[in-house]
Amino acid sequence: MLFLVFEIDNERYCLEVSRIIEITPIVIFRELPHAPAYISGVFNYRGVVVPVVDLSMLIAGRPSRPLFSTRIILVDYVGGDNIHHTIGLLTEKATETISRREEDFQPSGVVVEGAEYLGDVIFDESGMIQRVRIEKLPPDTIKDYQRGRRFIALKENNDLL
Amino acid sequence: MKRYFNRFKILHKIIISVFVFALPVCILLFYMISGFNNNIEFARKEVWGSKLLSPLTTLSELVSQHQLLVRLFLQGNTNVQDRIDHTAKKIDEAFDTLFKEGKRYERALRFDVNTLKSIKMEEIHYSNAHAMWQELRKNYKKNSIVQNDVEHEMVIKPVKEMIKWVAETSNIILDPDLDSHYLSSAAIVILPNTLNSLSEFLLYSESVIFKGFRSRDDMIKFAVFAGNLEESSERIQQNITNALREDKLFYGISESLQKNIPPALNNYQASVVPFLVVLKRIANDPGSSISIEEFLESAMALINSGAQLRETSFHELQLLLKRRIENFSQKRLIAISLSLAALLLAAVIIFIVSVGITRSLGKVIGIAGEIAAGNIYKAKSDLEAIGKNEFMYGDEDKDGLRHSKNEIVQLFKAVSTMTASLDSLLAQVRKSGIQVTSSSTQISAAARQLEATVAEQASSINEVSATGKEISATAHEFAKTMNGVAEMSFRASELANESMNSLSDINTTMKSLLENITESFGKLKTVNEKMVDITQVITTITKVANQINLLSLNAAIEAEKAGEYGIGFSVVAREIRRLADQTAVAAIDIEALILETQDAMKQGMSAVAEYTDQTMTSTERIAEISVDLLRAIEHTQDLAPQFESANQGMQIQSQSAAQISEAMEQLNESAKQTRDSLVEFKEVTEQLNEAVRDLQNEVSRFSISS
Repeated sequence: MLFLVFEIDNERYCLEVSRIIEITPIVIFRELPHAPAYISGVFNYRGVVVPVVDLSMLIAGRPSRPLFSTRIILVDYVGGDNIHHTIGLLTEKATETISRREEDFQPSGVVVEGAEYLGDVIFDESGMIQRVRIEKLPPDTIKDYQRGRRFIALKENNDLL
Repeated sequence: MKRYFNRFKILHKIIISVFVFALPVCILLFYMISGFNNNIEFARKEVWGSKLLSPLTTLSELVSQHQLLVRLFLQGNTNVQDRIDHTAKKIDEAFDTLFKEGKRYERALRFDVNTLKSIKMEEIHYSNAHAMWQELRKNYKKNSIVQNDVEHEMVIKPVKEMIKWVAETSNIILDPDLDSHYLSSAAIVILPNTLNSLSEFLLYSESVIFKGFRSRDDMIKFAVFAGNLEESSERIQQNITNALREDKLFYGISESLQKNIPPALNNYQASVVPFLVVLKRIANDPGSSISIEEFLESAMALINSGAQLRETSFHELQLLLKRRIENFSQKRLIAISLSLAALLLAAVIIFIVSVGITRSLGKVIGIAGEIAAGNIYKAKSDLEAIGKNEFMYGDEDKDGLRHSKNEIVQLFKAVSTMTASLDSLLAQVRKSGIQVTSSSTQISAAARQLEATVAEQASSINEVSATGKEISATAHEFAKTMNGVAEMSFRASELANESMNSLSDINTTMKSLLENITESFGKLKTVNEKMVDITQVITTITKVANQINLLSLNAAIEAEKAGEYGIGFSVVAREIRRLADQTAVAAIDIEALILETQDAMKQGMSAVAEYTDQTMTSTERIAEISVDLLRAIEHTQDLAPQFESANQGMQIQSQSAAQISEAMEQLNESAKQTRDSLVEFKEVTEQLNEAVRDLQNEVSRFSISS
């Protein structure tokens, strides 16, 4: 299996490539007032309004820096309502892939409440890489938020995925 | 004695004094009254004597007459028998009277048988004469003439002795009043003597006449007797005239005396004259013959008139004496009544005075008792009431009584003044006592406070002493430190000199550094400009590499999705990406680094600029510091000797502190002593307080007016 590797504050994380739709350069987002800080905003992805979650904000508590290697990873996300959504994940240094088997992953031993999306751990010569589990993203509050009216509007364009 | 006397009340004392005074008064009164009584007794004795003398003289005359008549009778003249009987009868009467009067007065006039026996003169008692007379009367006819004469003489002799005795015992011849004296001397002495001698002469003349012739001696005797008779009558005349003349001077004129005596005297004088004529005829003419009868007739007339005069005189004498007795009795009565009245009056006055004094003193004593019991207010009001009631001072007679010399009033005033003074004094004492109590309480409180203060002071002093010790120690240490400081300052001075030199070096170094920095700044600017160029190149490379990377990633994703079909493609993608990575992806971070470097460069440039500024200011400051330091060095150099003096001062201070500490310890001792004294003082104050409380208790016994 192939995993996209990215780096936040010198710690590396990975995502299943099978769940990635596309990686795009960073764009300017339409900000959503009163949204949580980890929601960077929405942007027009091929005519579809996609919400963007800032993983740097979510994991390190700081916004992603505007680097060349800072990219939007568009993933297929199945929310609590079992409906597929396209959401963007903003992250720094998403430039590498790594190929591993599923059984190579080892549990970290600690599941932090509110950060269940940080899953098992693999390692290479450079160190450990923690897996980000998309299905657990974003936190529950966002799940509820996605069950709102906007979520219903997104459902109509579901065939795009 | 005195103590015993002091126990009595004033009334008793006054009564005792009255008795003491009354005693001599009574004695005087007694003597005065006994004087009166003596006078009265004297007069009474005279009366009694005259009463006895009257029958006695009568008796002696009558017995002589009887002798003469008996002699005549025995000579044969029988016609005198009647006259003898008559005379005998009169003699019996006289004896009866004598017995009657003698029984009454014989004891008082001391001629009773017992008294006469004790002086061996019992033979003169009239009872002997009477016995002899009885004998004579029976036997005169039988006896001879001589025998009769002897017997007559035996009768007459005791009578005459009796007369003398009574005259003596009755004091009649010692009569003090002239009228009665003259009268008595006439009636009792002269007249009876005359009559007696006449009687004897008659007997003699009868014998002469009887023998019938007269010798020359007889004639001379007749002449002498006539002269004697004449003289005696003159004396009688003179005495009675004197008595009549003096009568008015003694208890007034006695009317009966003036009335009765002169006729009797005239009668007597009238009877004397014819007898004298007879006597002179017999004496002068030897030839003349005279009958015995004729002679006796005239003699008897004279004897009768003499007896009459005597009796009258006796009677009047008795009257005079009675008047005297009455007078003395009256005087005695007056004296007694006056004395008794005076005594009674004195007693009443003394009683009133003593009762007044006792009553007033009782009131004063009551008031004094009230004062003693402490009821001064009551005593004061009582005094006022008594003053108003008794002495009325406070009313209209105020001034009069204020200057009164009455001791009781003065006593009351004195007591009043005393009470007022005592009242005010007690009020003052009470007030003062309260003040003293409060003062002593205050003093006590103050003493307690003072004690506490002293205790605090002592502790403070202890603290101060300890502090002083600490100061001393500290100062000592400080002095040491100062020594060190002085040394260090000396060293600092040296170091500062060195620093000064170093600073000069630093200054020059800094200046060169500033130049270097300015140079570096210029180089940095150049680097920055070059870096901007490099960055643009790198940016371009990086953009391309980035896009390649992105593309390769998406390709890899797509190849993954394509599965086995995409394996070759994914290999190509991987290779592309590797190429891109080799060229540019590293540059991605470099780019970021460059950006950062640029930022850092900018910051560094600004920092360098700031640093340059700071360096410049530092240089300036160093220059300033250099100057300051120079001054500081100078100061420090100056400071070194000052430190020396400070050091010495500190040592002196240390010594002073040690002295202070010692002084404080002494002070502490003094404070302890003061506290002890205060304790004693407190005790004394408490004692004073107690004494004042006692005094107040004493005073509080007196209830005062305000």
